[in-house]
Amino acid sequence: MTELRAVGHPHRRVDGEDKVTGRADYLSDMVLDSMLYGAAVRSPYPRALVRSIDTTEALAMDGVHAVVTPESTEGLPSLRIFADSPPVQRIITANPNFVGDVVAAVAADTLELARKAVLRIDVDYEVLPPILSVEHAATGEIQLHDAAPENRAGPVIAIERGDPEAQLATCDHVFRDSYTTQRQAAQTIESLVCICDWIDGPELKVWTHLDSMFHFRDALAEAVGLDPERVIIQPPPNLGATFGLKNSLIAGLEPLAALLSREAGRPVKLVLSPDESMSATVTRHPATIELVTGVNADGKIVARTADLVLDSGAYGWGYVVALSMLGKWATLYRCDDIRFTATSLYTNHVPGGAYRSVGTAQIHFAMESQIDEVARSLNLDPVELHRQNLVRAGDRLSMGTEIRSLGVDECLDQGAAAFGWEGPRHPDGAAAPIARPLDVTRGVGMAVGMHHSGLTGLIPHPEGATCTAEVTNDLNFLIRVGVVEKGQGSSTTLTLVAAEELGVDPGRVAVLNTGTATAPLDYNGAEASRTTYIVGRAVADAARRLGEAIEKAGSVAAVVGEVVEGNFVPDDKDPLPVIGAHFCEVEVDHVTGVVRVLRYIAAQDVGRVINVLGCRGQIEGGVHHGLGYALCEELLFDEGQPINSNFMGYKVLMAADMPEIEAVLVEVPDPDGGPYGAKGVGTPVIPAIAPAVANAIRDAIGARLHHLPMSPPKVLAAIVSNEQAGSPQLLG
Amino acid sequence: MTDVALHSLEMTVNGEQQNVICSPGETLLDVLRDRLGLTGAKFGCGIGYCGACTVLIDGEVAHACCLLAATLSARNITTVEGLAGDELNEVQESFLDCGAVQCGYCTPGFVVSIRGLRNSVPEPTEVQARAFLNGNICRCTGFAAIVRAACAPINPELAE
Repeated sequence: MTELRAVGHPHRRVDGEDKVTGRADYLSDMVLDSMLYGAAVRSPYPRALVRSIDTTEALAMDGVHAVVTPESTEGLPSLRIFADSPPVQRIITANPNFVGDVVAAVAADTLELARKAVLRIDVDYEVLPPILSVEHAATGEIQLHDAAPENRAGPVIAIERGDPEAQLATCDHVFRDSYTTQRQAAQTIESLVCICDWIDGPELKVWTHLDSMFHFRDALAEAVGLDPERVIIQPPPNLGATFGLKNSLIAGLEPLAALLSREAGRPVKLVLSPDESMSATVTRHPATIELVTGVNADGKIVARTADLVLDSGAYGWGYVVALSMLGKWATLYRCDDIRFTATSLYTNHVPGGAYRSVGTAQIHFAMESQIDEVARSLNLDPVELHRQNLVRAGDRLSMGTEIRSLGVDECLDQGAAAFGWEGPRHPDGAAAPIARPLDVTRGVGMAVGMHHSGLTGLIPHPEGATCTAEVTNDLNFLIRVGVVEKGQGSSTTLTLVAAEELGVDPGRVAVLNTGTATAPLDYNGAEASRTTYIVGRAVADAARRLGEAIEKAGSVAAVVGEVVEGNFVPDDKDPLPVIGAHFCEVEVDHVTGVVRVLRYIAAQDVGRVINVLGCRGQIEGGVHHGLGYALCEELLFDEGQPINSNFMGYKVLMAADMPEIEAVLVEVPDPDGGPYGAKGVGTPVIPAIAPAVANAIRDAIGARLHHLPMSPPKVLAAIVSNEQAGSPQLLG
Repeated sequence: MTDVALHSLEMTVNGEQQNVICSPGETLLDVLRDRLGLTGAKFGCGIGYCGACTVLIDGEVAHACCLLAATLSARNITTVEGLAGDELNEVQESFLDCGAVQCGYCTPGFVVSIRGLRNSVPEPTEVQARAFLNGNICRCTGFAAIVRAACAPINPELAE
């Protein structure tokens, strides 16, 4: 490959200067002429029936312009997130199914007034018994949605290959373990906002937190009964990051703001409070995971089974989460005899949704924790056990695509070298000796994580993107895209790709998204680490064609006004696999149960680095979310009531809690991956993190934690039960 | 809305004397954003945890979402808009060079906080920077690049 001039070097973000000076306007800063503010009346019960709603007092308030109730949604279909999801959610419901479900809403001159008016709406509820566990949901005693028999949130996801049960009977060792994972909330710093302007007759204009404009356009059009062409989604000038939370519409946000605007005849800005943003949107799906793994004495994995139940909450889509899990679970280790069964059930909790690293975060915690126990039992270095069993280039993915590129050994080698890995400190399984007087022990752990880049084969809409390239009147270059810059840095990355192809300074390239009415189609949007890969390829294609047109015309000036299109549609059946190997050291306080991560090495195969700053930033940010998932982040409920849905109660790791992070950028290019062989980086960094920490804690305390998050009470309980089992070694 | 007595007070905002009229319940953040049009400081958590609203009051960092404006008569307020003149200050430059900005919603608060840190500790160590930033949350960067930026001018190798 010839020397790359723009790609592979550190570049400042194209939007950075506006952001450090405070000049950057965000969605929450936006104000339209004659704009009203919305607020929602939310069910205080996890399950209830609305007998009646009295809106008289609210409507009589000076400055209140509209009140909407379940009646306002008559004739509109129930929402579904994906084309094959059960249609179960109303925009405004008379049958609330979680604490926070919207039963009415108002639009008023100010936000303060709207929130006061909400308190003046009198709702008479008949409280119904809720489903608060998947075990209860599975009994079928209560049926939550007519469209979902047996409380099933989509189909059971299952595969079976070979004969795992027969093979398990022949194995030298069989490991049977059970794990659970929690509801993790995105806790965005900018609370969710949507502005809708339902201009009487012609169109509905929308500015919202979103990952994908065209998916949102079609889903919102269906939800509010408009033709898709009459819904125009505008990308806000800047967006506070949402980490997957906004991969889909949220019923109580875009459709609700649209109905308020229709009713009031004016633009309406619906601003969720931090509490609403956390507890009345969506969370990562919690999972119960039972794994059985059979191995031979030499460490060869022979057979595996997985049985999962996902809590989809009131309106989630655990079956898609399970599909994402399955692809990686079935592929990560070479094994011919496997069985996977995942059931997703509705309960009366906040809906499950997307969160950075959908599905793979949950399943990796389980399978990479278990594989560490396998290594310990066989007295093998877990790095070597991985090396022996991991998938490689040339193997096939779950839907049949042959893997072209996967930096398995490179990540293991470079990660281990950066860490100085010499195997577990306490491989015999005993607790580490306690160092008095501090009562702390240390341990090390590692794990491998695999996620996908792009959505090929995972959702009904086909993968692919289009864009255009043109020369502007001032002889610079403009790339028009349909993908959303939501903070991840796509505008900068795509600028560099175009500059590289055109052979020009990145300062002469601009990337622009003008909204669904005029932007080139990119249906799947900024999700699943697909932008660099999919849209990047389309941009490279457009820029290359524009370069050819310039060469043919003889000068840049000669092609002013010519618009060149670029496309990319992957040939594969599966999304691009991306792998990483992570290593960490932890210190556990035996008095408080507090775990401190001292050092974290994330070796990620990024294929090709486009922008060093962006690449490293995605990995470091991912480690923050992954360590939070491992140690502390959990949205808690008591009898269906959220009890910590605010920044004080929902603990995230702060600057002083975070370890030193070393992002090892491993480059094993995929010849038919993203531009220059690049692969996605934002989501694939997550899955290895929680198990790497769990394995290090295991090394430090001599006991295995099976439930996330590994918070101090659970760590203490593990220490105590281990001591009762007779393995403490106190050194004076 | 207007049935409460309004306060009238003088404060200095980004070097300019301002006469502010506000209601007793208005926070400093409300006044900055809604009355003075300074939207660089952001509303995040509303309870003084996330630091998106961080400003300097007489050179010390403060969460503007938790302070009633009416209590700040004669105080000297600096927002992110007041940090840079025609050129970026060294903290802002370091943020760009280190990749400390992603979505950027928390960035004004961090930039102001680090300015406040530098007012008392001109050359912070990594440990000092991490401890000082306990009133600011960033969900994008893992704090790593922000800490590098906070220490960058005196530890230029950290920015590499």
